[in-house]
Formats: sequence, C-alpha cells, structure tokens
Amino acid sequence: MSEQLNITRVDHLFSADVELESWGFYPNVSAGVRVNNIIKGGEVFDKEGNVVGEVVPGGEMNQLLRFNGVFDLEGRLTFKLSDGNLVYVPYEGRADFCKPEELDAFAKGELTAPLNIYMAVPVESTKDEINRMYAFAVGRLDDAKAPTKAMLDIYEFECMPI
Amino acid sequence: MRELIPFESEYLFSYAADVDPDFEMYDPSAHGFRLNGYIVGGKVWGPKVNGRLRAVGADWCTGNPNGIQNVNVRTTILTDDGAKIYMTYVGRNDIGDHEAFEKYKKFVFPEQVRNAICFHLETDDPRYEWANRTFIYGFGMAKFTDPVVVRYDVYALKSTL
Repeated sequence: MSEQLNITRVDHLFSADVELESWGFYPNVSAGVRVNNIIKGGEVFDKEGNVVGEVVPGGEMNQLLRFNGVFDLEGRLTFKLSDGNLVYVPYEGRADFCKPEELDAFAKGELTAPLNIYMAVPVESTKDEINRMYAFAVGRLDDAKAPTKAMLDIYEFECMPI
Repeated sequence: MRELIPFESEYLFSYAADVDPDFEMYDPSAHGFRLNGYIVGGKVWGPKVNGRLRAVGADWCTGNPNGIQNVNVRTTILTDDGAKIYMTYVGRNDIGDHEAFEKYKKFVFPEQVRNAICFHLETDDPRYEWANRTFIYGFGMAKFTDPVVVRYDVYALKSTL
C-alpha cells in the first residue's frame, strides 16, 4: 500500500446566509440540550458574492448539545436557484462548544456564544450534475442558544483518479 | 456580501481496509441495489492515529440507478497505544452511468472507485478526545484488484474564523 496521499479536489459550490427563528429550546431532553430553529429564508451566493438563489422558508436547522459539550447538528434546507433549479441540502454535522461541566450553564441560559459548525452534505438537485457531488459545509451560527443567522459555505470534494 | 469563512484542513491519518471479497449483492433493493462488503482487518497510520482496523464492520452501501453509490460504514480502530475508536462514515462515489450500474450488479467493477466521505469518530480515551470534538472528512480510493484495496486519507476541518 502506497504511503502517498490521494490526490484530491475541494471546490466551492454555494454559500448561504440563512435567517433563522429560534423557537424550540429544550433544556433537558434524554440526550442533552436541544435547540431547534425554523428557517425563515435567506440568500444563496457564489464565491464571488453574486446572488444565485434563495433559501426557501420552512426547513429546520437543529442542534443537540451532547453531555460532552459537543453539538450534533442536523437539518434540511432547500435552495431555489435563480435558474429555477432546486437544491435540497440535508446535513448532519458536529460543533465543539463547551466543557462537559458547562452543560448546565447552557441549559439555564447562563452560557452562550457564536458557534462554528461543520456538516456533511449529501446534496440532491433537479440539476443532475449536483446529484453526483458530495459536499461538506463550514459555517457559523451567530448564537448557540438562540441563533438568528447561519452562514454556510458548501464545498464539493472528490478523490481524483490515478 | 460577506467573505467566505476561512478554514484549514489538518491531515490526521490514513488507513487501508482489508475487505472480504465475498460481497453480498441485494438486487433489486429499494435503492437500486445494496452491496454489503465486510471488513476483515486493516492498517491505520499517520500523524495522529496508528493502529489497525478490527475485523468487524462493513460497508453497507447502496447503489442508485444513476450510478451514484452511497457509502455507509461502521468499524473500529484499535490504536497501537491501546485506545479504541469507533468510526462510522458516510459518503458518495460515482461508478458511472446506468450501464455501469447494471454491470456493477453483476460484479463487473470499474478499475477504481473514488469516495468522498465524512466521518464520525467516538472514543473514551482521553488521549484521543480531539476525535470526539472534530469534524472529519476524507478521500478514498477502492481498487478492484485481487485482493481488493481500499485506502482512505482522513482530515480534520477547522474554521479559522
């Protein structure tokens, strides 16, 4: 087995600024502390900043703070592109937030902060080339407990042929 | 308009999985096909993790008629210094067009299949606590030689915002 690393490619696909309504704070569910957020809308843009679509209202971006202080992330967004194509953006991810002993303070509303978020994004689309991609997203919530905005930068990536 | 969020990737480790060549093909399935390939061992090496794959787990992957496969793996790493790391990952690869999909079901594989993957690692060993807190992605290459060779390179994704 070669010790040489695979040749890879990572390319920007879309970015989105997502407007959120934080409506469901569950301080004591079995698995930790849950923060559920409804998507109100937003803009989709390319890496040059040109608007190429909109975030369709109605999806959710939800976070579950586990007992080790790390959020599990899951959500479902839809982008409607300016050319009429749809891009479905389901994701699961992870975000390191706090020490385990700080969980109670978060549950009581005594601790919050912006949150760097990371997701695996198996995109689906009416545009066939997007169905053949796999993506990750790097992003940020403006507030871990009651977010009003999420920034997402989505990148397709692949292992190149040899 | 805003700037893109700056990020960096840190190379963590690579691994080569030994796969039982006696694949289980389920055809048809609701997805198109299901192909279960069982892990019988493997080697892990790199700057952050060194060890081996236990002879447990599998890729319970599904293939869609458009030629996209959905990777779905669970296994365990045993490190040389005695830690256990539960590793699951999902991702995609592109085996080609519908004709390639039909051939794949008959075990006529392309020369190589290239995987884009996101990982979820869990451990109870404090020396590897970073694995519980890090988002990890990777790139994989499967070659349908004899034996089958499956090799992945694994990276941490870190925002520098």
